[in-house]
Amino acid sequence: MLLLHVQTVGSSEGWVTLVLFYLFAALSGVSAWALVLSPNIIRMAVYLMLTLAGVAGIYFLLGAELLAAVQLIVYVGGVLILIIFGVMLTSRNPYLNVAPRGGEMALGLVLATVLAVLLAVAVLAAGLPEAAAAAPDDDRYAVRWIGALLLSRHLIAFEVAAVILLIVMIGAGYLVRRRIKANQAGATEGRS
Amino acid sequence: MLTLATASEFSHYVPLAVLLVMALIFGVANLVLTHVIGPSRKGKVKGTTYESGVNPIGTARRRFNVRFYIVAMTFLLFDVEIVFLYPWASVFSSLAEDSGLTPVFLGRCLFFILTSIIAFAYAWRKGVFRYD
Repeated sequence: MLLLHVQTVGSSEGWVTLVLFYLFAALSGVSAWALVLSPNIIRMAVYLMLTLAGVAGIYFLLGAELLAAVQLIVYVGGVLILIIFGVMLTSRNPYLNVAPRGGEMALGLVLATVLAVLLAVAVLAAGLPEAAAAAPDDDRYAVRWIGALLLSRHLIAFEVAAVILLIVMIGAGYLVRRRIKANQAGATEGRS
Repeated sequence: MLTLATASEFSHYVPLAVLLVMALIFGVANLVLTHVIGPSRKGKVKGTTYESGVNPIGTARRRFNVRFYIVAMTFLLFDVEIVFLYPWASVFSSLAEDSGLTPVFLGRCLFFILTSIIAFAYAWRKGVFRYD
């Protein structure tokens, strides 16, 4: 088991950070565990929401405010809704219970172990900077500096993101139009 | 050994924490109080979804129309769009007025928004938001 030594700077607020860190870490960890163990697919989605929210809390603690906001807005608020909608649309019974077979469980266990080992090795080998160097005491990591860079040096990426969103929207529109046409063709065939 | 960087100030998150706690208390208190002090009469009509409203058709556990998925996808797109506007909004208010950057940044952001308006118009014309 990877042991985390959490050393905090700023003694007056250090214990708040420590308590919040363990709170969010426990929220993420326990929810992820429950997500894997739960047999009910809708409850899995709720546990996934709690896991993602806990990760967002850790982003807040790290001072990555924009990343935390993105995590909450896009993943908790958006992608999760899409997942639940996908379940409700596709499965015959949205509240169906999922019971993995032995082979699937073994494969999942192997993959999870490999990923955990890889992450642990990467974290230990990364040589993380000391807390004082990593702490965003100045506002270099503030959202407005991200905005300033996004709209000046990385302007192309910013506008390309807009164009990609446009393309996705057009793709969705195309799919809908094709289905409307197919439905109309089916209706006329049914009549004749 | 992993050292956790502390963000220097958490005091501006206190209102957010208060809001979260209040929301939690409100939700839990409503559930508990309903169980404790609410009357518990049971019956066939009492058990329906809307006791004095329309009768429900079938069960809620059925498949939904696939159109809702397109709407959810559209929502996600504009969700991502909004995320890009936060950094812009926070830098725009702190631009110096005499730097001449204000119209440039406004124009760049308007171009960004314009693409989503084009996308919205296209989706509207293609009937993404129609339910007939």
